[in-house]
Amino acid sequence: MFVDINIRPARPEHLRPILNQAARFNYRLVAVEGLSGESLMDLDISIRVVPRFTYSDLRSLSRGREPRNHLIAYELCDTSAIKALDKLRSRVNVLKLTNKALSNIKRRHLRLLKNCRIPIEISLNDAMIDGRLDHGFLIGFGKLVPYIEAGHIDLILSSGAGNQYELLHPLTAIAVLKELGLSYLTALKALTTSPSRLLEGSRAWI
Amino acid sequence: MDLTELLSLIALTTSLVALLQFYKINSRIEALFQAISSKVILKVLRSRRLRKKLRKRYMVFEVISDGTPDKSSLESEIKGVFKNLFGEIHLTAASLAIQYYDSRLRMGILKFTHRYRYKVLAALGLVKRVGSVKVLIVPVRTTGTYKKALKYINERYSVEVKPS
Repeated sequence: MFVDINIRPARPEHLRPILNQAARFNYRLVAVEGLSGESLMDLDISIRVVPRFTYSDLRSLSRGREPRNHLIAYELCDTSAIKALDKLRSRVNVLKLTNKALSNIKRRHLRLLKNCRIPIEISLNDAMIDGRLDHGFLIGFGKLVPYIEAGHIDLILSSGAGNQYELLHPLTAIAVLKELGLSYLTALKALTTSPSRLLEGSRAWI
Repeated sequence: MDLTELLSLIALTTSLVALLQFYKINSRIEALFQAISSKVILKVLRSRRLRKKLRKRYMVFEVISDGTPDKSSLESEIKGVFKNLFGEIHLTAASLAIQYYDSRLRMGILKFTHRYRYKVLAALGLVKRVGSVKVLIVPVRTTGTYKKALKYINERYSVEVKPS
């Protein structure tokens, strides 16, 4: 039912507890970063697992060694990179916005994000600094809300969990999005329909 | 003219008068509603909703952690996150308090005001640490009374918890 597209275990042994916890939280599909597809196949768990790569990591891999059935995320650290997004449309599945990029986002950037039609990923654990939500994140997210509500930008919420304690319970994740200004249905969509449609539409679905 | 004819005549006259009176009052009410715009009605309805009595809610929660956080530190951490997110005024209005906590089962009951349900859930989602202990708070069930919350705990965990 629920999908988390960003799990990056701090250590390989953290993966199994994270996935077990995710299964308990009703997650049906997760994308895991930093592990190869072969090692994920060996896991005996009840949820589907998809390998995830960031665009820069994928470029550093030599030709012919590119993994199959994977999710590619482009990490947008600076708003100046938004201009070149059109070229990435067929290469990346999702665009991850960092706090720095969100804090500097302007209306012209939002128009470009709207036109490029790549879903936007926001990681809640990255947005938290010292137990509170980052100020820059809050400013940027407030600007994004009308575009997301109007359906111009597709939002996906991910956990970015490094261990089982950093996973998001779906109910609390929806409540956080609701308190940030989204409607209940849009918040639910960010955890269910949008990420599953992304994985079905891309080559990541296995 | 016999008695039955007289009675039916009186009944007919009375019903006719009642019908006329009803029409008169109805047209007055219609005129009144036309005078008040829909915006005013919405405002009145909203203010009535706000004036409604605040009801308490009791949330059964589980704590997944790598240690055993105690009740007071857990409560202060939840309140701290809530205060960081929504401020002192909302914290007071939400009247957050842990009513019951079992450190052995790592579950408890959190009391709050019904209007703050999503705010409390959001705050619980952002609690990641209690002191040096990593925690994840999982909301399990929200009830309207403390008794029902205790009953749920008794059934789910097969324990005998009595109201304190």
